[in-house]
Amino acid sequence: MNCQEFEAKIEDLFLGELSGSEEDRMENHIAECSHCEDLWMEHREIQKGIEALAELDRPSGITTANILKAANDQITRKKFVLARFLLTFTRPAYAGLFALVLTAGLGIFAHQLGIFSSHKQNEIMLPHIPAASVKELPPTPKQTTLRQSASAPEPDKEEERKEDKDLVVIPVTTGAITPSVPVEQAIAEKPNVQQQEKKITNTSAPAGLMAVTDHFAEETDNPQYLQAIDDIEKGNCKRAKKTLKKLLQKTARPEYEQALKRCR
Amino acid sequence: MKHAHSLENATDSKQSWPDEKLIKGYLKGEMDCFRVIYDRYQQRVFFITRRYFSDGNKTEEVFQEIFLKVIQKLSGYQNTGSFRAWLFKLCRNHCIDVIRSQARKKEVSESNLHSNHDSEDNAGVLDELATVEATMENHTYEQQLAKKLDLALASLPEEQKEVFLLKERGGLTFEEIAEMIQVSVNTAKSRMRYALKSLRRSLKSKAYVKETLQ
Repeated sequence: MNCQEFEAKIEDLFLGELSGSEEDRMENHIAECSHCEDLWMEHREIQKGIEALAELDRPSGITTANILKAANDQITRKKFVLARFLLTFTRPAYAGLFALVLTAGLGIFAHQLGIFSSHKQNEIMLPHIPAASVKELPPTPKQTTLRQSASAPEPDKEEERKEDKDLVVIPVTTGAITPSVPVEQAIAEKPNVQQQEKKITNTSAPAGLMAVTDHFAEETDNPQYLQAIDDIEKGNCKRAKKTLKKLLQKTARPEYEQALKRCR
Repeated sequence: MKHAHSLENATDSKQSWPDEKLIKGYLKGEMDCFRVIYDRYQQRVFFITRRYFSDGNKTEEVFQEIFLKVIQKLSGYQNTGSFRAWLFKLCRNHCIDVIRSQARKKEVSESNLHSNHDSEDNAGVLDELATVEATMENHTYEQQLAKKLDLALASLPEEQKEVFLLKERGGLTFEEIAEMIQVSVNTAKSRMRYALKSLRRSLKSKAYVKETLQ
């Protein structure tokens, strides 16, 4: 190895970047050449200088103490984060708030799952019945008679009647058709009867409600009751009284009682 | 007393632990693990920080900031590379940030950050070194050498100084340095060679080294 080659590789030797055999060759040259030995010593001086400088350059005790304290604080903070979080719930206000939030959360969760939902129960009780099936309900003979006789006169109300074709008519007997009034008279006084009628659209009327209203109509149009009224009008009070008493034993209706009073 | 003694023993037993194990220990709450890490790196980090700032007080301040940052970021530290590379990268980036913010405040001119002095053009430094030699006659050889090297390092171009410090004091590989400063490995090696040549020239002034050695 010559000096030129040595100088080209001296930095690599210093950095330990050479292979074992090359390192040996370089060291052999240092032993032989004083010039290159000086060169190598200059490099070694750099390393010595760094070590000497590092000994002088040290952080002060205060800085070290501050850093170690910060490191300790960081650990302490971490350790007590959970403890502080749990301690928060020992305060009644926070505990109450937490319980409220928890309950609300559970409620929302239950709602999402459909637990305790009242909608389903309603659906079971009052299922939606298609309009066609509601129309098919057969009216009682008396209802048919009443409707026919009520719609016969009054030509000026024809248009209104046409509009009401698709409606189910439920007669409401709240004293309008009383036993004191003859059936024929009640039929003749159509406007009064009409005023007592309540109209509901058949598309929205549930089957359960329709059944109840039909039963109600049957009660007022009871043939026995009508016969009794007829008897009273004809003066056959004895028979009427007997019929009405029988009816009252079955159901205590004010109409029956009033009709009975008329017999007396 | 017994507690202090046992703590000292625990710290001693952890001296041989690798960095990653010490970090895990610290994050679990073992303070002595942090103490070992700090003792292992404080001198090197301070050395590098000192090379960025001429003012000793500023160096102390920035050094403290670096370690506070390390403490904060340790919980999110991911063991992807070596801790040493992570630490010195944080150190370098923080020093550069501080210098930039100083430059913005006009306290330090931007030219200090990128002082691209020509390595050949260091006559001023040599004069300064001669003055140091004259005024430090009563100092030990090591002290004189340290002072001379300090001045020589200050005269190095920034990119050479950076590589030299990370290699010599940080103990990083050229691959780690290259990745950190976003250059190729060969560029990093080349910068290191130039740095060594420049330092050798600076220290060689007035044949001081050889005479002292003899």
